[in-house]
Amino acid sequence: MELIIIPFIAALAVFFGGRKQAAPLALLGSLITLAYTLTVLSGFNTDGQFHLIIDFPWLNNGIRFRTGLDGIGMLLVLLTHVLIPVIVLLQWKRDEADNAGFFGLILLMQAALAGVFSALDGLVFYIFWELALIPVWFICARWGGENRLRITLKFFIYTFLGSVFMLASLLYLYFHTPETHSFSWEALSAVNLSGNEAMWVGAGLLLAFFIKIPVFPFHTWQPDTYTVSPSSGTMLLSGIMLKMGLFGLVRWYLPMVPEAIAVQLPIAGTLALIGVVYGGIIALRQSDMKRISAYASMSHVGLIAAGIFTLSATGMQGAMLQMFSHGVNIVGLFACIAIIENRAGTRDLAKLGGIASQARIFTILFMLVTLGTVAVPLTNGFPGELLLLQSVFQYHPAAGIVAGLTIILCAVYMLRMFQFSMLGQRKGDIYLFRDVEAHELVALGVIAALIIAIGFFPQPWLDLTGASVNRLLDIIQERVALR
Amino acid sequence: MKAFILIFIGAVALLFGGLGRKERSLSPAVWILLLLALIVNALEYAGWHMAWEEVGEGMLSFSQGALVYTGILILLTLLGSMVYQPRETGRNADVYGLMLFSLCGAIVLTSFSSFFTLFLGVEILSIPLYVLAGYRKEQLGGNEAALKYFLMGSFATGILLFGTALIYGASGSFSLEDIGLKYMLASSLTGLSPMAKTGIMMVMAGLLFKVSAAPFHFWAPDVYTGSPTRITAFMATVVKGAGIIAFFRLFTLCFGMADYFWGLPLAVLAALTIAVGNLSALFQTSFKRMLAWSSVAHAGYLLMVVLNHAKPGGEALIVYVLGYGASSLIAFGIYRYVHMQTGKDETASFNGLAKSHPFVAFCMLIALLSMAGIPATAGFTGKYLLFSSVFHDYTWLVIIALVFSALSIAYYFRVIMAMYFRDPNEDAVTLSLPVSVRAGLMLSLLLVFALGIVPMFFTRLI
Repeated sequence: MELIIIPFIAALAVFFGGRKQAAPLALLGSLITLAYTLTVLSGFNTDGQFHLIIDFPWLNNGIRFRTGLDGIGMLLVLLTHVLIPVIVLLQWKRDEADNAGFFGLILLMQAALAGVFSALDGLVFYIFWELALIPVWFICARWGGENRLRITLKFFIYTFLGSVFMLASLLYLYFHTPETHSFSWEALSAVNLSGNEAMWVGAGLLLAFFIKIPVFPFHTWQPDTYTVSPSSGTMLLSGIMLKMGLFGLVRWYLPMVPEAIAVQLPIAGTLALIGVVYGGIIALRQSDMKRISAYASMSHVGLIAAGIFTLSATGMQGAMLQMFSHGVNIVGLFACIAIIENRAGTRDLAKLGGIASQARIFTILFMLVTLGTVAVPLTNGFPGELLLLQSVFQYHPAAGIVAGLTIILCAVYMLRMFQFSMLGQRKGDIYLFRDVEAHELVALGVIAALIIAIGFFPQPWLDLTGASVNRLLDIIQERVALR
Repeated sequence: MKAFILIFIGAVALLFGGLGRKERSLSPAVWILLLLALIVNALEYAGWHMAWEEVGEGMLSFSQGALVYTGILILLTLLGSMVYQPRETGRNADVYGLMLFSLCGAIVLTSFSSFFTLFLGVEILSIPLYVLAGYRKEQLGGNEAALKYFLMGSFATGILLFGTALIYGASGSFSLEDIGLKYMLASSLTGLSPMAKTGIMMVMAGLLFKVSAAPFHFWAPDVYTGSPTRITAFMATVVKGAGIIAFFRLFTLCFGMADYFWGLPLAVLAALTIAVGNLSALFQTSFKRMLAWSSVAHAGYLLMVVLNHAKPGGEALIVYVLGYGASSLIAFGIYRYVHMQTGKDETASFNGLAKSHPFVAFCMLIALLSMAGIPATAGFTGKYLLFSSVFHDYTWLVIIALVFSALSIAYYFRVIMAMYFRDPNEDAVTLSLPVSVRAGLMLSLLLVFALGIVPMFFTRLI
């Protein structure tokens, strides 16, 4: 609960704090949140049960404000609270008249995201899910680039439409809980539906999560939105917000409709794999660095979704680890792109080149992020991707081979991006590329440290979620076996 | 009941007070009067002299629920009279007096227990409004609105009366309780007589007209647009609220047992209203007209409350009428002041409002988010309660409503984008709102947030 309240209070402080104090206040607030999260984490019981439960009636006795965390939720709350200070720090030098609004919205988003990951009541989940959309829409639509209004409105309506179907599904489940109905996670997941009902309910939930992730063919809002948004908006969207969709699959889809997963999982898994290859191939052909990263992100999360759909402990664990790593990497990637755009005035690969000879430290950091994304051993991308590919391969060898393409594709488009922008002839003599400044160094340093730390020691992360994943799989298998 | 008497006396006094031409002191007098009425009503709710509960031999019955609805309508009128600072026209005493008479009619509609009082309530509510719609007689639009409203309104009242007569013919009674318990019970075995069926349908048509639901909504956009904005806001909040409360009361107490007969047609009409309202709002360029069409759409959502007449229906009614009312007051109010400055009424006149007037823009933002049904505002809680109350019986209706409320974001957000993301116009507005207006906006804003964040406080009332 404090994990939601602290950022919220910080957001209010920033809103009313005025322009000069906005960035320091936001950083302070997010660091306090982070410190508190780490304290909670140090004493966290990873037995797979929900802890830190807050529970009081909200609308009536069946609809309660109920939050709590298990390992999975904790991992994602940790991701949120680690990345927000980084995102704030990257904007440290920003000094505009609307600073208070900008940083306040980031912290508001943080509070809503923490709410999404800790909600244990269907309606509370839905409420935070929608609340997270408002600040990020504001950030993207207010400070975005050309055509931002049309593109972000499409993004908003698209995702909102998906989530109303989720609400309909949750309502349907709610009315099938025993009298005086309840929205609690346990009650909703205990509902037994007929096969046909479960199909519709499951489809509603899947639609919301697929749009958010996004999985092919529901991705059409994503590349434009990522491209047009300001870099912090893109980081929030890609680093944290799309984890909402993946988290939704794990917490709010699979246990809710185990009756339908036998039919729906193969279809969903296929779509996810199509996304993996499709995103990868399109990324090869782009020249805008943001677009490459957008499609790369789509390709990566497709693999994570596919791992979740294998319903195996390996796949789930890989997905958990990769959710965290992907968040770190993609924020690092967009941070590097933002720095390049800021210095060189363009993100177009055709107009860039030779940065490496001018900015040493930046090159090293960018290289590290690239390697992490490509999933080179001893970086954070590797262990998760290994587990994911292993699980998909075990599920079906053909699927494993298709998924395996991601390694090749990813290496090609990432290294191509690195090569064209950093190496080669110095293009555009008009600019002299300044190396990273102190605040950028700290922010990217945190990212780099995480890339290496997870690469070398993936086990603590896996331990955090292990018991929760097993418990979840037990619940699902038990329910499937019952039928 | 005591609040009703107080307001009635106040309205009469205002009409005579208008002779004195002391315009300046009028608004505070009205605030004090309404505040007193609210307090008296709250005391009555808390159990002060409950002996008056039944009035006039079963004509009015002020149950706890009726008192809550009465309180809501008085509160909305009070907030409205704060937000809408009247221009000094020399007619304000009459305008306030007529509004209070109309409020009296609305209060009758929360508590009627006979078809007599239903008819009386509808007429007391409507007749002052016919005058109010055209009180700025120099404006052509207002005259058109008044005439249109009068002709269509009296036609609908006629249909309502006709239906009442048929129901009387079939059941032999005007009392809701008699019809609801005795006649409906008796006919639940044999089936309703054709006369009673026709009667129910005609009464329904009359009431659908009053809440501006499709296919009887054609008057609404013109009348809402043509009337002076403070009257439009009154129509969209108090009048619409009273209409739907009356609808709910009649169909719960009286026709509740026959819902196998009228339930499906009403659900279809609700879906139609939602679709027509939202789709038309999408294509408006005038802000006021957009709000008018969206108010038609909200009437469609509100009809769901009638479809489910169990207790959650009552909760939904409180939250939605109060929440939608408060958001409408804000939206129409800010529009009014912007319009008074610029004389324009397209969405573009809001461009850059957030830069020059952060507080006003924030109020508008929250009001629009609430109308769009975004969580943590009243609109979400209200929509949730409405949709969930009929979800079990009319799942298809809820899905249609959900899709259209997602669509409605497009036109609400157009205004938000104009305020926050576009640069100010050359002739940018500079509003100087009096303290009372700001206080009214602030209170409405708090109400919208309170209903969204701590709804238990309100749903517990009933």
